[in-house]
Amino acid sequence: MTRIRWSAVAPGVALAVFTLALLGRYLAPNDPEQPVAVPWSVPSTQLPFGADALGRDVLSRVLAGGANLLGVALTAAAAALLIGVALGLVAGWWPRWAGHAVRWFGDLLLAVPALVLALVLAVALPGAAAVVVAAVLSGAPLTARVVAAQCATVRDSGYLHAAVERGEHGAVVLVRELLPALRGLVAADAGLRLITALQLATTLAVLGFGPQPPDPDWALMLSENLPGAALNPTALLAPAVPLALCALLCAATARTATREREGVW
Amino acid sequence: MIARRLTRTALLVLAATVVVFAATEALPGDAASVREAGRASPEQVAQAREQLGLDQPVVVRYLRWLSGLLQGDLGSSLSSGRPVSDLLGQRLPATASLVAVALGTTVLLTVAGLIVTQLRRGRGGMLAAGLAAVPQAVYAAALGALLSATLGWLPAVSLLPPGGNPWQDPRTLVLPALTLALPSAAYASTLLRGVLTDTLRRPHVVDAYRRGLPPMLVLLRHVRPFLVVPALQVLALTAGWLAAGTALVETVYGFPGLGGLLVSAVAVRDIPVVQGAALVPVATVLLGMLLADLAAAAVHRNGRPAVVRPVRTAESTP
Amino acid sequence: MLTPVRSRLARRGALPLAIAALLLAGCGTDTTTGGSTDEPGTPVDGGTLRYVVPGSPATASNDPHGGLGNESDLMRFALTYDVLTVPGADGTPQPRLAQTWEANQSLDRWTFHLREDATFTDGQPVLAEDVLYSLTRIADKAAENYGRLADFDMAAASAPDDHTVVLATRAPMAEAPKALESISFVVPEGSTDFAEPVGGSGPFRVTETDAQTAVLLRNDDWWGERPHLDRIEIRAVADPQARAAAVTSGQADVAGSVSPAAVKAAEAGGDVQVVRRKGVTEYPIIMRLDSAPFDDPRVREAFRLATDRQALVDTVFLGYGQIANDLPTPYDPSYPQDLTQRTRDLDRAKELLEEAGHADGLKLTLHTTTSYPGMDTAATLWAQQLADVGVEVDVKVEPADTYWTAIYAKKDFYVGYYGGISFPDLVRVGLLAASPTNETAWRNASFDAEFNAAMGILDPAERNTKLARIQQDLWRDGGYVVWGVGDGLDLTSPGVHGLPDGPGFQRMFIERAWKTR
Repeated sequence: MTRIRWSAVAPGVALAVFTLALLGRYLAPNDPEQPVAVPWSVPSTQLPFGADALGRDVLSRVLAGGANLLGVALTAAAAALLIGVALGLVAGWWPRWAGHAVRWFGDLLLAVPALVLALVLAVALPGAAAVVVAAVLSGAPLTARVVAAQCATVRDSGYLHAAVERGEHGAVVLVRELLPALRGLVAADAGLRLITALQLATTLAVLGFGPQPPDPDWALMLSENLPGAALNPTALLAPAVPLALCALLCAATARTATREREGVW
Repeated sequence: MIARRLTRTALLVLAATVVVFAATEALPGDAASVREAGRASPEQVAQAREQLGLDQPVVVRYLRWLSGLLQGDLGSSLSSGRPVSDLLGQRLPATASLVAVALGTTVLLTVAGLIVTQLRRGRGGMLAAGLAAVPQAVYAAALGALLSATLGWLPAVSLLPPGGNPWQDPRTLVLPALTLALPSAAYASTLLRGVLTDTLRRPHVVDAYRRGLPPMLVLLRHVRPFLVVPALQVLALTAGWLAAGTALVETVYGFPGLGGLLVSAVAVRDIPVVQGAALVPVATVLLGMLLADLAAAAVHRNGRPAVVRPVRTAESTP
Repeated sequence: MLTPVRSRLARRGALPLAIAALLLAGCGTDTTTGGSTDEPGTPVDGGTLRYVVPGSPATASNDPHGGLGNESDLMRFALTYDVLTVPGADGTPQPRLAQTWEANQSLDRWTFHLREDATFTDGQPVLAEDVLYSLTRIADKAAENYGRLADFDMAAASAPDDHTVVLATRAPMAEAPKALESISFVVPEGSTDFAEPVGGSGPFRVTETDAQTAVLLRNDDWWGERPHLDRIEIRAVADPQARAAAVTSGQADVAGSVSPAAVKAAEAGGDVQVVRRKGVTEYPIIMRLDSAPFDDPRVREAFRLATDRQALVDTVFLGYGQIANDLPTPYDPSYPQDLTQRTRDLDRAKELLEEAGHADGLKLTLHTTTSYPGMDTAATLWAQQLADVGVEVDVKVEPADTYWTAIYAKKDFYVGYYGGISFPDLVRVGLLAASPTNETAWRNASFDAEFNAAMGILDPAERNTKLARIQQDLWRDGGYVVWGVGDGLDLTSPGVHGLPDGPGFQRMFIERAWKTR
């Protein structure tokens, strides 16, 4: 029996799932907000996942319900990653002052759990914005730290010295010469940032600080469809599976990238 | 050494209070307009601002809040007028029980998981990483659907008996604690697995295996000492993570504790309560970290090997 | 004092509805439903009722004169304190601590005669001084309770004897007994420390409280008819799903204020009863009369005729509601009963739009938000309905945070909110030329004059006839499209009977409830 190279297929599958989730609302066979059947109808040929408490098509709701959640998570992760890499490059290049500051800031934010940060921010910000800011504040320092560490090791390598001696500007060297060397590391970190962001976005949505009913949303569907778990379990599984799958794929992608970088399989 | 760590923790606590205060107070939409809720005239809002001291600069307000905090005075709830310290104190025992049970479960699951993956020569790492990535709400839904809705073993919501002591009806702790413990155990396992792998590559461990000692014995005698300090650090992080995670779990299961308090205070923008309730998980992490650091120092003095702070660079998931 | 709730404080989930209902529904009335669910069977004595109420732990309070932001607190107060008057089934105030009352000729001095057999839990009789102290305390805490007694001049109030109270209103106020309904909780004179519950004179007394639960035991010394229940446990649970789950899984007997979706889920899933309280929520479409194209009455009429009311009620309230007839207070005793119900008439609507010069269509932006569940759906569906008469309505969903400051009473076309306000209050707040939030820009001198004349009439029937008259004008010419009114919904287990299903605060007075064994 050959062992499935999970890690090898994960990035491809992740891309497919995310694309499907983001564009899913255009594939929905029914209006995700309108009742089309008897409440809690079990799966049938017309409604492959059955109906929810209001008789709405669960399949349509699942197809339409990932875009917002993943959109928020992707935005948050991208912002955290970009800011983190930028900080990391600066800190790695000038380790004395910037490196110290980044490390200290990272320690501090490790003490404030990201969820607490997001909730506190939700006092004044809309849920999605709170997720983005919390993901950046709690994630960027971690990214910065690993990038800085890696940056410091490549810093003294020959090709960078060569670039500097050619008289190129520091920033140009950073972006053109150093960044490519960190590709694998950044890819691995992207997966981790996305996991955190996805968890934050899901939790805030379930707590009522995100989309409001009747919007279709995977996180909201979890709580909406729980009362019918005994009547139509598919209605609960349908949003739970893609949500869990996205998280698993992020984890797998992060691991793959880490292993590629370390050359371990 | 110890003095340095205490100073460091004190500084971090101070910085954390700045973060919490800044996030709630420096942003638009202040407490006066919240309390008056759009009903009052501009003059009344101005009056309320003065009452609440909001006409002062941010720094003054922060220092005032901090000096209150040091004296155990966290201010009063904007919506009920009750002292925040009373609100927190009333809910602390229930949440402490929940976190303690969840932490115990996490430790058991983590140790079991590490032993199993080790016996299986490192397989299952992907599984643990994946399980740690799945959002907590999915665990809540899955456990609720399985243990409550389908099998009917446990109550769907954890309403506590009058008096608010969960131990009078321990069943109320099971679903919330499991929902907290499953992902955190997966997370702790992934953190510790790295340390474990590194330790296993150490010459004396490799040598012990080569001598044909039983794997369990090698784990206990040669590997365990290297894991103590990282494990304590992970434990501290996990405790804080669990304390934060009560926000979701207590809301979903209707469990009357600090996490639910934080969520409902955010919903009504009761800023003093938000600040107080948010500081609890923060204090948990920092106190745990300090204890872990002190333990590490003690281990050092006993001449035992210690891996210093490997998890500081590790991920913190919400 | 009684503006529609537009609070950033209460912007999300079930809490806004709860607070809205709390603050506004006090004046709501209902002429169509009886006072309580009348199931067959003889009431059974004894037992414990476990009631799960919306309540936010952050706002729990023991002070019955404060903001009353928490339904769980309010229910505890309603059961442990006496009030002067309670809301009756027919919408008129009924005696409680006050047995009778009368007004002077100019309707600005009201004399209340208190019952003589009421005692606090410490055995002291309830006297006029206690009532004055409590009402003065409510008036003094205006900043906390949104000026609940702002219409009364407490400095001019007096107590001629131990069981008589004379209250002064700042202007003639025919509805003074109604304004005192439900919220005039009487505590012993001199009570200042509300950190712990203060003893009252109501049908129950508090024995223990914790972070979530208040346990109440029957007060056998209460003057009124002996309640059937021995004990009531009031639990505050903020999450509406958790409240519904508590009943469906048998951990509670009643869940207060659940969402239509939760009711549907519970009905489909198990053995539960639903208590429907009428006239709790409405999302009218607001059109400002002073801006184009709504300055043309034909356009307003066309929009009302293009509305498919039943479809909106079925979608937004999931059927738990009634269609309405473009008047915001159909549950008010003054509602004109002989009004023709507007129905959908697309041909007539198109005709009117043509006459108004919009034959080749009209393009408009309708603002809405997500403050209350279904506000955005209502806008979207209504926009689709207007497309049938060639009007292109672009729905803009605004952030809930700023909606009530930036859009409400500022834009000329948006979805509003009312939570059971009475007609006189609605007029004072939003329909007089000088009203603070005249959101439809309804300025009509004869309307104002007729309203003021009506409010000087003591006889309710005569007053309501006058008020019904001016509502005819509003129905014909006003700036509202009121398509429906949603019900308040409570979920109970099958053995629970005798819960109130009347308007507003009546739902809090559950002392007549009973439970089969």
